[in-house]
Amino acid sequence: MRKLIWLAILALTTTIVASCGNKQSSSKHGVIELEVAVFQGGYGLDFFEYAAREYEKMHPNIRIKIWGNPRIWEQLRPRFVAGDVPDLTWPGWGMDYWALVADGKVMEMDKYLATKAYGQNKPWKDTFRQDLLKKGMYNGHYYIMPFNNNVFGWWYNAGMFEKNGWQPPKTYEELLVLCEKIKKTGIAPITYQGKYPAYMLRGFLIPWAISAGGLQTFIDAQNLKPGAWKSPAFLKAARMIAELRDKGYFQKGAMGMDHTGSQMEFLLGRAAMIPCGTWLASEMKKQIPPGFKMQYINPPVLANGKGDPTITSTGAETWIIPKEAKHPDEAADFFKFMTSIDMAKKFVERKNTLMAIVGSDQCKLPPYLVEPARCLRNAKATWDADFAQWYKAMNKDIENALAALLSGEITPEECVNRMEEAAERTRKDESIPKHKM
Amino acid sequence: MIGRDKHIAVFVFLFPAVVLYSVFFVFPMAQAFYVALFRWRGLSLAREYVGLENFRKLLTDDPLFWQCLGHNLMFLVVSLVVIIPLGLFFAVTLSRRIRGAQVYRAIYLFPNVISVVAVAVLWSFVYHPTFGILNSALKAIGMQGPVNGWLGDANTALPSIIATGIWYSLGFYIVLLLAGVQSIPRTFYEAAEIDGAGSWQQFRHVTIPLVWEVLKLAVVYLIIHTLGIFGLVWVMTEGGPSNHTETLLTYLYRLAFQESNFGYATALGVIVFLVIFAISIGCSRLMKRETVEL
Repeated sequence: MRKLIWLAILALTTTIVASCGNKQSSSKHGVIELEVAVFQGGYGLDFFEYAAREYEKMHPNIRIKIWGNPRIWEQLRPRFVAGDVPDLTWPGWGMDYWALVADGKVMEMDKYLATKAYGQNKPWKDTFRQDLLKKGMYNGHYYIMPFNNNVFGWWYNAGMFEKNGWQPPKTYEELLVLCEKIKKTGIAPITYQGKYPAYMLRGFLIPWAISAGGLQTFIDAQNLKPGAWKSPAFLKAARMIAELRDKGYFQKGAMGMDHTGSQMEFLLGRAAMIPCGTWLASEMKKQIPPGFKMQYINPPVLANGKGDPTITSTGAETWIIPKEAKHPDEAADFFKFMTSIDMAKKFVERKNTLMAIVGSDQCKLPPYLVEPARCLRNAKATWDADFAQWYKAMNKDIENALAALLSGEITPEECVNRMEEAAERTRKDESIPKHKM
Repeated sequence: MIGRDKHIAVFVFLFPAVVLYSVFFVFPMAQAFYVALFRWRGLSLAREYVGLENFRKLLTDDPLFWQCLGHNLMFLVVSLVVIIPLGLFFAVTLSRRIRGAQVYRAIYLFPNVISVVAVAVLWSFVYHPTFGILNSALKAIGMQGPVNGWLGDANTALPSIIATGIWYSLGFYIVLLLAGVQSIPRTFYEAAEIDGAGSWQQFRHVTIPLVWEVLKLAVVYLIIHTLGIFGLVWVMTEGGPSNHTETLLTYLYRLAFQESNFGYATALGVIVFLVIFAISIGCSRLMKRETVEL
């Protein structure tokens, strides 16, 4: 019996000792080890590994450890709470960036942005697209850094359009005429990712509100100006959506489809157009049928709309340096290297995405990116649904209202009223940090 | 001496389990009650004590909470009404020595051994607007299913998930009740038969009283399962369309992990715990009977 007890105690202590001794050994003399935690999505890790090896060649005293995971934000959350953070991270779409900023967990980037850029004779700050860089500002300081960016608009089945002699619609009025023609052939004119109303918000409602009332309408809405979400421009946009709905121009059943499901309908030629970002081609790479041709357009605008027709929607994948990073200066420098014009062009060419660095599209663009890049270059102004990141609960309510409108449960008036109520709740709630554009 | 040794041995062997249980279960549970008193984003240690504000807001200022509770109660009531009678019926039927009873039992239990996620994905296909077999079958007999699929329609989404939930868990309750029914000695039925009781009377006066305890257990299980439902709903609809299938726990998940509203979500968790606790106690009180000793 005694023996057994001792055996048990021994087993227990060994486990405890063994688990305690597992702490990482500290870095060797003079060698700085950077930990870079990357969202492992469609772009993989290989490019970041490549950049790290290149950087190490220039800085022999630095070792960069890249690691990634498709749900990396779940792993990072407890580490942020504990203050044991990576030096640089792209925490992925599941991370609530602005909550991190509000809690003081993100490094302010101003002093790094003022330093000279790699490969260009100007401050690092000036190498970025300013619209995308400004998106990461809070209280006048830079926190969230853009890396690659996307353009959000509509895609049409170019092969189908050619065969039928259809022209891609520039205006809403042209769209109505075209939809009637398409509908007659038995093909659904437009499909959408019904389960995720974010797509319809960015593809229909906001561009049309901007077209009807000008960009300021949307800025007011993002700034939670009282009445902005139910302004005549938003009501007009909601009515346009209801018109397409009632005329049967949306694919039947789209409301019940998820993103890949509806995108599949588009690729199979059962729907002629779909709203989506520039990631569409890489997301559906394996499913694109041979010979399938698609092309990008900005959402068709009102012929006599107030908004400039070149206004384009763009958003970015974003990186941060955690406030408690052990080597923030080195991390910032490595990120500066990754966003240098040379590396940016390489990323564009290898990963089929645009980059937030000015001039990085001056390379051999993949075919699906040529038109979005052109739209972005020619845009007089750009926008992104920043409020969706700032005010997540409000965004959910707004998406719900839009979904209810699309499925015919409510009228355009009820829809915009529900959106305004959601904005009102956020406006009144003092516990939510407010943003201004 | 040996007695004392034994005590030490019991202590030593139980100690790791008690420690693990306390550290990973009891302590976090207790902590939840405390965290619920804070406004906390769950991303840093920065948190602000707000007292019972989270509870006040949930109960008086959050229509979605009541909507979720309503959906969960709907889930509970429909499951009770369908599963308990159906489960009892199958249990009694299978306990008769009919041919192939074993096979049927395996078939009924089958859905329960598949993972919830697989079940949810499978049924999402069944309910799908374009290639779902349900809509196709309806079309074949000249009827029209919901255009947006059963899960995309405000009126059919919740009933569709409930139906899947029942399909999934019925087998478990059949097996549970079957165990109860089978533990009743045959002699009781023989005695009842000699006294002239028909099969309904045997069921009413022998089976029911003797499986009552198991029945009670089944009801409490159902309460816990339906009020704590998450995986099925999350995979099938994520609470959509437009919150029409949002349940207490899908809402909690969203609050905590997507909206960084950890304190508030924890308060919701505490309320869910209290609701389950209260309803379970209430139900077992209601079902209290003189326990029949076998």
